[in-house]
Amino acid sequence: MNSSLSKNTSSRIQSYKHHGKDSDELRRRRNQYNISLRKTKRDEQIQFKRNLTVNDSSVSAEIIDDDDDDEQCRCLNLNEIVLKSQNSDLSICFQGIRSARKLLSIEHNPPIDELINLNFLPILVQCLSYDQYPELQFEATWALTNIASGNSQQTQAVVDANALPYLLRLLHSIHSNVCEQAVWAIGNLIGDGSRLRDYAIELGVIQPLIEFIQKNIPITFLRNVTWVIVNLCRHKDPPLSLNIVQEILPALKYLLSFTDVTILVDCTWALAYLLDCGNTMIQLIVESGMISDIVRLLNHNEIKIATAALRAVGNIVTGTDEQTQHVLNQGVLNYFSKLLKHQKNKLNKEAVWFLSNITAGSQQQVQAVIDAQLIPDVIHHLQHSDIETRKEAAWCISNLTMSGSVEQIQYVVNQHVIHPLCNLLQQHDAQLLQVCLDALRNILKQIPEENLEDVTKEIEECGGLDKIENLQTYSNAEIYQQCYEIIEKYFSNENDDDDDISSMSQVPRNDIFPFGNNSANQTVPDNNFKQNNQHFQF
Amino acid sequence: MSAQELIHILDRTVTGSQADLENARNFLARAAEQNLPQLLIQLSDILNTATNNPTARTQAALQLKNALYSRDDIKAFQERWLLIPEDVRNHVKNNCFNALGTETTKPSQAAQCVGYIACAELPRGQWRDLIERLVANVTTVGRPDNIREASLETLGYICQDIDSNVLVPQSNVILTALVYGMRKEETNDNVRLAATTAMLNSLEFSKNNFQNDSERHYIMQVVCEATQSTNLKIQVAALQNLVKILTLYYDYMEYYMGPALFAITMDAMRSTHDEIALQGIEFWSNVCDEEYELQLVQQEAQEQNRQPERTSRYYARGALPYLVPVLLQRLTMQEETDDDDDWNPCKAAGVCLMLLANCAENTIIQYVFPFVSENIKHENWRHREAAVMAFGSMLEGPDVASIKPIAEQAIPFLLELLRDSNVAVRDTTAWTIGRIFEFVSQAVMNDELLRAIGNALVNRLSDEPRVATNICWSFSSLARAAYDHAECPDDDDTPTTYLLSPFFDEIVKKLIETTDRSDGNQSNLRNAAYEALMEMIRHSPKDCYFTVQKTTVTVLDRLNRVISAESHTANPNDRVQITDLQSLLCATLQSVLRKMHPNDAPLISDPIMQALLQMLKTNSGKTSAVQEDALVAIGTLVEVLGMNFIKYIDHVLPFLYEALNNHAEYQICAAAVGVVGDLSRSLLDKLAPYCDQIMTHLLNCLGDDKLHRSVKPQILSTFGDIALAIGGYFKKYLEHVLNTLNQACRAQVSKNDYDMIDYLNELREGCLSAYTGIIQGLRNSATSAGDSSLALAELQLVTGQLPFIVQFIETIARDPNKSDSIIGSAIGLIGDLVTSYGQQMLQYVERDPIDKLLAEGKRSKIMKTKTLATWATKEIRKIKNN
Repeated sequence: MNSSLSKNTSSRIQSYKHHGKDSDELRRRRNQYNISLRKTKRDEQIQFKRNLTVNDSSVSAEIIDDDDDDEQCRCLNLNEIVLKSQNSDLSICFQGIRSARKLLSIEHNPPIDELINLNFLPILVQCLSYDQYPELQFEATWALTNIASGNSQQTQAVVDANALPYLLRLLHSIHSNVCEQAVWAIGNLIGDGSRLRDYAIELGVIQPLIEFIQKNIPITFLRNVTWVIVNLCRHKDPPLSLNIVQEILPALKYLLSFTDVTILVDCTWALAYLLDCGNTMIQLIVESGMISDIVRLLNHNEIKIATAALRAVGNIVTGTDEQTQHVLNQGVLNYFSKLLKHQKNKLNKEAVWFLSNITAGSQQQVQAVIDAQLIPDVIHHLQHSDIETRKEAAWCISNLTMSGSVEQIQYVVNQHVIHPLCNLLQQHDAQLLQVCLDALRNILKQIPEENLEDVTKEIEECGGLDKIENLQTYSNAEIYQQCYEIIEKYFSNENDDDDDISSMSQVPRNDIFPFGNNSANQTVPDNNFKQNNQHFQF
Repeated sequence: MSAQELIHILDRTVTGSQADLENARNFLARAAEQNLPQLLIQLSDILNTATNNPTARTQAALQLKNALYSRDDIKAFQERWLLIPEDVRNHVKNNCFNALGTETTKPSQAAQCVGYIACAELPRGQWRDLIERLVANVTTVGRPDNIREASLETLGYICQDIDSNVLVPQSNVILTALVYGMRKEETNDNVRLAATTAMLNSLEFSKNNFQNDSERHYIMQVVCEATQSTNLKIQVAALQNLVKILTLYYDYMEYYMGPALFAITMDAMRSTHDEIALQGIEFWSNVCDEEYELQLVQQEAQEQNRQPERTSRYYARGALPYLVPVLLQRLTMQEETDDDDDWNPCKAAGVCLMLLANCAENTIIQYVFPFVSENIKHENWRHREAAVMAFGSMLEGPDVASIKPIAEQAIPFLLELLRDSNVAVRDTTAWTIGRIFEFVSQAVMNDELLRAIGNALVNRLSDEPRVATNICWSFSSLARAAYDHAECPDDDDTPTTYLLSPFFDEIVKKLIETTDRSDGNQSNLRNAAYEALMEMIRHSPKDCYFTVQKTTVTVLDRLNRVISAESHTANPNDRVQITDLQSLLCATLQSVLRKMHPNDAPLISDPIMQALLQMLKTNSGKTSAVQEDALVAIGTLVEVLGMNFIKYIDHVLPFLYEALNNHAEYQICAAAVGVVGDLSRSLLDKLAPYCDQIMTHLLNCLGDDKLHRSVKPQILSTFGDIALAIGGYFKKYLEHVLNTLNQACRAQVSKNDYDMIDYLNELREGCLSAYTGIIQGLRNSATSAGDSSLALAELQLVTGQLPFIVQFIETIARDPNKSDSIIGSAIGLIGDLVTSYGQQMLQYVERDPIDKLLAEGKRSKIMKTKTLATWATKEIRKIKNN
C-alpha cells in the first residue's frame, strides 16, 4: 500500500545527480534517438520528392510569405542524390543529376563542397560522355557550371576531375543547349585565372569559340561566347600571348559591330583589359583599326558601355606619345565635355584620369585639352567633387603645370585654379599634398614676373599661405622641404629668385597614376566575373 | 477432498521442504483444474474458520488470492471469477467478508481477498452492498477494533486498485468512514493508521468532496491533525496525504497554506526522523513541480494572448527565505558512506533545491550564494560538499547573464575541490562542473579556461568510480556545449573546429581507457564512460576526424574480442556483462559510423559487417538484447554505406527474417523493421528482388495480435519507405497493403487512455506515411520513364481509394487529440494527392475540415508543418485556376 511513496521516491532519485541514467534508460534514449533520425531521413526523402525543402527547426514568430516559400530552406539528402546519380539506369541517374543541379542552383549557399566531398565530380564528368542522352549531358554540364562558379578551390576541383576536355568536346555537340551550357561552364573555369585560362587554351578552346562567332548562332548564345572571351582577356598576370590575341581580335572587331548592349559591354571590356597589358599589346590593337570604334562608344547612352570604352582609351593614353596621339586624332576629346558633366562620379573620375595623362604629354596635347574647353570642368571637379576625383584633377593640373607652356599655365591660373588647389592643402594624403604643392610651385615658377604678385596675393588671400605654413609641421620631410622652398622663395622678404628647385625630383610618369589599374578593376561589375545561371529559364 | 486433507496440504506449504511445496502446488493445481468452485469454497471455509490454525488460514487466503488475481493478466482472472456460479461466489464472498478482523496475523489476508473480488465485481455493478457494509463496520459504535481496522484496510485496497471512476458515486460514504477512522478522537492507532493509509488511496476519486468547501475543510482538518499524532507511522502516512493533496488539489490550498501546511511541513523537514523529513521535503518538491508547470502554462497563455486556466500562487517563491536555510542545513547532514540506492533527506534536499531554483529563477541566488561562499573552503568536508551541492543545484534556474559571473568566480574553487581529500566532495564537484557545462557553458568557453578544466577532468578520470562517473557525464555535457558553441561554415552543420579540438584526442583516449577499467561496473562507470565517448564522437568537428577513425578501429577490435570471449564464457554473470558490453560497443560503433566520411566507410565495412553477423549468429534463437543491438548497428551501416551495402544483403537477410519472425521479443522485431526502412532508403530499387519475402514477413507481423502494438505503426510507415524505394515494383503488393491500411485507418481507442491516444496518433501517422510513399513512389517511377500517361495509369491503381483516404484525413482533421507531427503528415499527403491527381481531387479537398486543417497547419509552431501547409494550399490553388 506504499505505492505512492515508492513511486515518488524513485522518480526523485532519478533526479539526483546522474542516478536516472542506468543502462536501461540509456538504451531507451539511444533507441529514441535512432527513431528520430530515421523519421528525419524519411521526411527529407519525401520532402525532396515534393521539391520542397524544409528546415526542421521550430519557429514561433516567423511568418512565411505565401508565394515565396519554396526556397525558404533546405536540408536534403545528398547521399541519396549521389547514389541515384551513380545508377547504371540512366533515367534514374538523370533524376539524381537533375536534383543535384537544382540544389546547386539555389541562391544561398548551394551545397557545392558537400557534393565535392561526396566525390560527385567524377560522376558528373562521366555523364558528360553520354552522347545518347543529351538531357543528361545538359544537366551534368549545368551542375558543373554552378560548381565552377564557386570559389577558386571549387573551380579547381572541377578541373581536377578532368572536366575540361569533356566540356570542350561538348562544344561540338549537335544539341545547342548542351553546347551553350558547356560554353558557360568553360567560361567559369577560364574566368578563375590565367593558369586555368592557359590550360583551356592549350586544350584548344580558342578555335571552337571563334567558330561559334562565325556561325550564325542565336544572340543569347553569342552573349555567352562573348562573356567567355572577356574572361580570356581578363587576367594579365601573365597576359594572353600576342598570337592568341591576334587570333581573337578579328572576332572582337566583328562583335563591336553589334548593337546588343551585353555583347558590346563584354567586348569593350575585353579590349580594355587587353589594352592594359603594355605598349606592344596597345600597338597590336591600334593597328587592328578598332580604336575609332571604341572612341565612338564613349558617346553611348548605356553607361556600362561608356565606362568600358573610357577605360579602354584611358589605357591607351598610358602608352607612348604616338599611341596617345592616335587616340586624340580620333577626336576623342570631343566626348569629354559630356563625360566630365556626367552625373556618375565614377565616369567623371575616369575622364579626369584620362585627361591627366594627356596633360602630362606634349604642349600640343595640353593645348588640345585647353582648346576642347575642358579645363573649367577639371577645375570644377578640383573644387567640388568627391576626393578621388579631386585627386585626379590635381594630378591633371599638376601635370599641366609641369609640361605646359607659360601661356598654358597662365590660362589655368586665369581659370581660377589657385583657390581650389590651396583648399586641397588641408587634406592629409601626403601624395595629394605633394601634387598640389608641385602645381603651386610650378605655377609660381612659370608665371610671368608681372603676374607673380597677383598669384602670391591670391594664395595669401585664400588662406593658402597659412596652409602651406601649417604644412611645415607635417611629418613628411619632402613636404616640409617643398613648403619651405615655396615660402622661402615667394613669401619671404629676401627673395632669392635664382634659386632653382631642381633638388625636387620630378614624379616619374609611371607613378603618376597610382590608382591606375588596380582600382580600375573595382569598376568591373563583380557579377560579370562568374555566373551562376540559376536565374535563367530553360 | 476433505477440509482436513486440504488443511494438511496447506500446512505443508510452509515446512520449508521443496518437495512438500512442490507436492502441495501440484495438488492444488489439480484441484483447481478438476473443480475450481469447489476448491474456492473450501479455501474460503478454511479462512473463515477461526479455530483453524493461523498458518492454514493464511495459506488458504493466499491460494484464494492467487485464484482471483494475477499481476500479468488481471482481466482474464477477473473474468474467470465472474463465470463461477453466483451461489458459489456468494459463499466465498461471505466467508471472506466475515473473516475480516478475525485473523491473528497481519496484514489481513481476508482484506486482500475482499479487495480483489471487489475489483472484479464492483465495476460490473455487482456486490453492491459491500462498500456500505465495510463503512458500517468502521463507523458503527461498538464494533471491535480488529474488524474496523481490517475493513479500513479493505477500503484502502479497493481504492488503490479499482478504476477511480467506479467509486465516485460512493465517495461520500467511503470518505465518511475514512475520516471517522482518522479523527484525533480515535484511540486505536492501528485503526487510525489504516484509515490514513486508505485515505491516501481515496484522494483521486474525492474530487467532488474537495470541491465542496465544508467537506474539504473537514478532510484537511483530520489530515493535518493526523500529522500531529505521536505515532510515527500515522505521521508519515498523514504527511503523504498532504503531499498528494497538494498535487491533486493545488488550487484549493491557499486557505490552508499559511495557517497550517507551511508550519507542518517546515517542522517535518527539520525532523530527526528521516521518514518524516523526507515527506516534508517531498511536499515542497511537489509545490515546485506544480508551480513550475503553472509558470509554463502561464507563458503559453501569454503567447496566445489569453488568460491561463490556472495560475500559480508562488508558494515556493514566497517561502524561499524559510525554505532555503532548512534545505541547506539538511545538505550538511550527509550519510558517512554513500550508497547509490539510498534515499535520504540530504539527497532529497539537493533535488528540492534544484526544483526550487527552477521556480525562483534569479531570486534563488541571494539565498544560496552566501552559503556557498561561506562553506566552500570550510574545514569540515560536510560543509564543503554541501556548498558545492548547493551551488550545482541552483545553476539551472537563473538566467545565464545572472549566473555566469558567479560560475566564473566559482571555477577556480571547483578545480581545487576536484582534488579534495574527501571523495564525496570530489564526486559532487565533478557533477557540478557538468552542470556548469550544461547550463552556463558561456562561463567556460575560452581556450585557456577550457584547457585548465579539461586537464583537471582528464586527470580525475582515474579517481574512484563514483567520481569518475560524474566526470564522464561532465564530458558528455562539455562535448555538447563546445559543439553548440562552435561556428559552422555557412552551408554546413559540422563545424571545422572547436575549442576542444586541441585536446580532443587525449580526452577520447582517456575515456577509452576508462571504459576498460576493471571497476567499471561500480557506480555505473562503464555506461557513463561509453556514453561520454559517444557524445564526444557525435559532437566532434571536422578537424578531429582522425581520432574518430582511430576510435572506429579500437571499437571494432574490442567488439571482436568480446565476441570471441562470449563463445567460451559459461558463467551467467559474466555473460550478462558481456552482453552489456556488446550493447555499448554497438552503440559506440554507430556513433563513429555516423561521423565517417562516405569514402572511408566502405574501407572498414567488411570487418564491421563480419563482427555484427557473428553476433547475430551466436545469439540466433536466444532471447537476447544482442540481436537487437547488432541489427540497429547494421541499420546505421546501411545508412552510411548507401548503395554499397548491396554486397552484404544476402548475408543479412536470413537474420533479418529471423528477427522479423520474433514476435515475442518485439524489440528485436522492431529493430528489424527499422533495418528494412534503412535498406529501402539506401538500396532503392535494388531492393525490389527481395521485397516478396520482406513484404510477406511484414504482413505476417501485422496479422499477429500478439505482437506488441508499438511495432505496427512502424511497419506501416516502412511500407511507405519500400514503395518510395521500388516505385512501380510495389504494384504487386498494392492490394494487400491498401487493404491493411484501410483497416488500420479505422482503428479507434478510448478517449481517456493517454497511452492509447498516443498510439492512435502513431498508427495514423504510419498510415499517412504509407500512403505518401505509395503515391510518390508510383508517380515517380512512371515519370522517370518519361511517360506521363504511364504515370497516370500507375496512379489510377489507387484512385478507388481516394474517397476513403480523404475521409481518413478528415477524421484526423476533426480529432482534437491529433499530434503536431500528424498535422504535418496529413497536410503533406493532401499536397501529394493534389499534385498527383489534379482536378479530380478538387471535389475532395474543397471541404471544410480540410480547409481548417490547412489553416491550422499554417499557424503551426513547427516550421515543417507550416511550409507544407503553404505548399499544399498553393498546389490546390493551382489546380483550381487551371
